[in-house]
Amino acid sequence: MLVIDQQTYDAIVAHAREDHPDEACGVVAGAAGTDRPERFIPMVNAARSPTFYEFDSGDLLALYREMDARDEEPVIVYHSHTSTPAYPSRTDISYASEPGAHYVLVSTREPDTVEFRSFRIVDSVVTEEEVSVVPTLHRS
Amino acid sequence: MRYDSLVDSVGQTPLVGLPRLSPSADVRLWAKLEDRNPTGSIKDRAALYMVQAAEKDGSLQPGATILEPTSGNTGISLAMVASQRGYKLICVMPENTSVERRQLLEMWGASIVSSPAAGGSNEAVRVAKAMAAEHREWVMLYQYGNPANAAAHYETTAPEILADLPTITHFVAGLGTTGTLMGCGRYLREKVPGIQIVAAEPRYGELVYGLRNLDEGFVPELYDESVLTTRFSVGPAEALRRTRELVEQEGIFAGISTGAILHAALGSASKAVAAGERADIAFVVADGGWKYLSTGAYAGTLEEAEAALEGQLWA
Amino acid sequence: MAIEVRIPTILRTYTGGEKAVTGDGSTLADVLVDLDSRHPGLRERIVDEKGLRRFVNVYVNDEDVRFMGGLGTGLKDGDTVTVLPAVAGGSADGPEAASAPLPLGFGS
Repeated sequence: MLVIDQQTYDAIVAHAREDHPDEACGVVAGAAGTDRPERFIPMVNAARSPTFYEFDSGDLLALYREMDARDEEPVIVYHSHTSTPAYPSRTDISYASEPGAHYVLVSTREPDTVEFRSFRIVDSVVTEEEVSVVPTLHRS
Repeated sequence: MRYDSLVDSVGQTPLVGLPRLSPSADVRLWAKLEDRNPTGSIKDRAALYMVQAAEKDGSLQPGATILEPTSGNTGISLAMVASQRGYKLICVMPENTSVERRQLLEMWGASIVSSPAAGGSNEAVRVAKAMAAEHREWVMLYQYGNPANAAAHYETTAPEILADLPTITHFVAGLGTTGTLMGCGRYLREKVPGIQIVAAEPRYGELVYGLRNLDEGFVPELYDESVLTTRFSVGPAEALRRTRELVEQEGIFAGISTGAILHAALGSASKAVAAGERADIAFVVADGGWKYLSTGAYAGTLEEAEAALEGQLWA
Repeated sequence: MAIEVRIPTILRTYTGGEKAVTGDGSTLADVLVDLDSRHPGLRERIVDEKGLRRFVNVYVNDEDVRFMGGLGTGLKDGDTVTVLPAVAGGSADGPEAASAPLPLGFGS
């Protein structure tokens, strides 16, 4: 299950809407080992495409160094689909390289509603999980 | 350059820069003039490859009848090749394609079966498949699924482009059978890291679709979406505007699908400019404007031309 | 020369869980071959028959080697090599998209 606070949920959806019709992408980092998505980090889609996303390689290095320095890991890796459902494509599955992350897919194909779903992708196996949006992440 | 016969002269077309339409010295557009092929379109490459492949595997025997769903260019190319190599050709074509296409087909000895206008190329495919099932002895080369179609571009079109433009960053073409984009896309992705393969597709108005449900479409068997980086959907107004700009500013007299492709190429160009990146964008001029003169696309104002195109398969 | 190579999570199965290993070589290509001798299979995840895999990023210090010499990038003592799989994907080939019809394409 993915537990995410309202503010982060809203931020991801807003990013997807803003970049539509290009795919939006980013990460929500959290303290290593806690599975708490705390720090929202929207990334630039270097592909700037309605059907593909990729983090710029320089941005990617800077992101991972920063997370490393703060002892964080990517808890959520999110991106949007702009004309297809919020489900991982074959491309999404083959490039999913963070086995510990929640892969959040947002679809902005409808102007009035949004689809927000979360998945685990491990060894090319996709498992959907429930998304629980809470007011704040409680201290554990 | 010398060739033994017309069919041998397919391909090796010029790549021409666009000094006025290119946004800057760092972001440049290049037009691959496929109208310089024997029958005036890029389809000559695919037609020749498909016929040669069928001769090689024995499915095409001397004197055989070829059946093909086509809205014009492939039929014209096949008609020329068939007439040279001794085959008969039956084309299944939507009834509302421009008269020049029919004239050219008949001139090269092909027969035409008309399919209903609403439904376009998709409907022609359905009709052709039904006819092929009833006439097993006819050979349907089937450009939408024949790997020789994509192979023609993988083996000829794309290597020509790369040899002329080693600094290429984007390749832009129209999406129809998907042969050009699949063949060129695969080749260029193998050779050029980071290349963008950009598709332009036509967005028709309701008059052409009629009451037909879009869900009755089909996916060309050649199509593999992962080869594409981006798809641009282009309407008739934009395609017309760009077709006119191309002839007015650069002197290139191209068909209307080329206008749509240029629109997508210009979209990629402006993204590169905004990002401060250099770009060398090669796009396909699929055919010349000759077959579309009767549509009214090249005369009068843009509004008049747009109105004239309503209800026609402009691409 | 001894080069530190930082390994992403997904490749740590090849290094026994280690997030950094040491390799020897004066070019990136040499270092990868050297690492593979102690961590078999690791190199193949980074390099294929055409060169560096498209969706694996390799950096020497702060620079992506694609903008330097690729596999031939020269290394000196104290350099750090970092491997990071690209974070990428897209709507291509979704389960519904694969069977969704194309709109009417260009006539052919």
